[in-house]
Amino acid sequence: MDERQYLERIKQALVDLNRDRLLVETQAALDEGVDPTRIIKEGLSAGLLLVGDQWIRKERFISHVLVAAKAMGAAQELVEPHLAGDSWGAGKIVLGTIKGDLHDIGKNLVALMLRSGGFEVTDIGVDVPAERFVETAREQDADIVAISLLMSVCLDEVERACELIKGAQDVRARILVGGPPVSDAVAREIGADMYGGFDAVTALESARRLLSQLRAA
Amino acid sequence: MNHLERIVAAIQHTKPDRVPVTPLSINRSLRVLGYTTKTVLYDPRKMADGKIAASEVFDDDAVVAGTDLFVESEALGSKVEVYEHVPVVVDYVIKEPTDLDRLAVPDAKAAGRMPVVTDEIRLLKEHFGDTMVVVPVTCGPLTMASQLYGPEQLLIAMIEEPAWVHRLLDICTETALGYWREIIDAGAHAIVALEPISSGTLISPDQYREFVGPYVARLFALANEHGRVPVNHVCGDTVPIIDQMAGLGSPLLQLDYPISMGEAKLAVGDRVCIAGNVDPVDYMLYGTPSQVYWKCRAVIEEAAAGSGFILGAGCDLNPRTPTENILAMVHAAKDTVYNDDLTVEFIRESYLRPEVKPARKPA
Ligand code: B12
Repeated sequence: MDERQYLERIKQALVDLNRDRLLVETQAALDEGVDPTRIIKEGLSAGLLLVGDQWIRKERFISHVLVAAKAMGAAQELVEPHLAGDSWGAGKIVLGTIKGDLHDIGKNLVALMLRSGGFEVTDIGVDVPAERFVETAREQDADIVAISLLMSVCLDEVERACELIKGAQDVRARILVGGPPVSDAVAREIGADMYGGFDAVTALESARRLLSQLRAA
Repeated sequence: MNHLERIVAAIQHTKPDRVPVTPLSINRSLRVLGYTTKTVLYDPRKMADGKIAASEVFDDDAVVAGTDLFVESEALGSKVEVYEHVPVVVDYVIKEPTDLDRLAVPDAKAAGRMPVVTDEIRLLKEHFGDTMVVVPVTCGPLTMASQLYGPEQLLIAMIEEPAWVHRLLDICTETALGYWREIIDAGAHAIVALEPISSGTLISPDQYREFVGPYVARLFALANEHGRVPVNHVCGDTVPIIDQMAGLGSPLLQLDYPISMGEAKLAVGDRVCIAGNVDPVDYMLYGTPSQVYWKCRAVIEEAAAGSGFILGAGCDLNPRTPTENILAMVHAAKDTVYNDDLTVEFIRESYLRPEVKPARKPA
């Protein structure tokens, strides 16, 4: 078998939500010397993104995405000791749900998709005040601050976070916002750099676009 | 007709004098006396007083007892922290699946805040007697389970360990049944099972069939046995499950804004009564009174004919919802009259002119 076939089998095991087979296939690929970075990128992450795609097309449900992500986590543990270092090159993201809002199911799915797209995600949880987004972005020297909200009344605090981030000279992060109360127009109005889209899969695409804008700047 | 008779007529698909209305003001009601959820949480007198005062201002057709959907999970041992307007779970009682073995059904007469809510119901009943619907909100079994184990863990377990989830749901259902018995004893006319976690955005119709339907049906059967009205409320999208919801023993479905009431009415026919579903945020919180009024009239036109309809918001009103908007909703209902053939007419055409849909963001 060539590398591609190994990767294809890993992807398929994940799409089938078959954790046992996923671990066997991942180990087999490692034993055959398949590049561990490719296992993560083209096997595991690609598989999770496929499950994510099926979910936003309503062919599958959130349960399936979470089960796939959990299985992927177990397989990743097998691969990690073989990794030379983070060779992904995708950026650093600070992600949280804004103050006053305690919904996190959507945000956690966004974190999963961003991670499977290679981003290094620092999840700072729910009910996060504007200041903490700024501080964490500064500490991490983050590329992107991603803010989630489900409660429309918390939009003002998101606006405040945007102001603080833009005002902080030593924070270079671009701002991505998402959640049902946000749209392109709202994102612009409150001073964010980009509306991240309606779902977690689009969130990853948006983060990639925002990162390339940042790097081109 | 008094408020209770009007709602009963809607549920029985007979002729109400006009469209009944329940804006779904829960924590919002407390604000009429300047209270927040946090300040009344352990004080049934204040809870009842807030609701009574609001009922005088709004003059709607039901008074909602309780404040939140964390009473049961707190009684079961999850740690709850109270924000100004809403309590939340900060520590789940089940950390490992084996923790389930230690979970015991609490005594609803004494556990946590359960007696606070039942006392509030008694005070409301004392005040209104049988002229006004007194209806508490409670937590449905699946949502309760999510507050004991965490929503994501639960969603995973529904696929990986379904038998375990059913054991957990059984304990949640027993807990709810105990609580519902006390609520029935306190004299509530109706009881709502809130199931936000069974929203179509979170679970599939098959998962609803397996993990929600059979459990809420047990609650609904208990209420029916005692001549009380069990209410089935699911937040968010109910399009994929509306047909199932209509067959679970609850004669009243309370629907959120993502479904159209016309579509819902078509789906349920005269099997059940539907209540809803004006967007609690876009319209009730951020709209103008005239936008709310005309939206309500549109909803009435879609679904009120044939009776079996109650006008309301899609979900719990935000505590900052303007009084004028709630009054505009009640106004729309009061501007109707039912004919003998159960068609609806508007008796007034002079309210403020219709406006376009409100903006997403507050001014
Ligand atoms: C589940 C739920 C809850 C659970 C939350 C559990 C948890 N740990 O998250 C519980 C029961 C605890 C809860 C509590 C409350 N809730 Co609630 N809840 C919901 C519900 C039913 C589903 C939300 C959900 O998880 N959806 C599934 C996920 C996958 O979708 P999502 O969150 O939209 O996320 C996706 C996208 O938006 C996007 N995305 C999200 N974040 C980000 C960020 C970025 C950067 C990007 C790019 C993309 C992105 O990607 C995600 C994945 O695809 C919705 C109703 C609905 N409309 O569906 C109400 C809803 C969100 N809740 C609401 C309210 C008001 C409340 C309460 C105040 C109680 C109440 N009165 O009902 C409390 C508030 C607590 C608080 N202060 O936050 C309102 C909010 C109204 C508003 N617009 O302001 C809603 C809309 C219900 C309604 N119609 O009124 N709720």
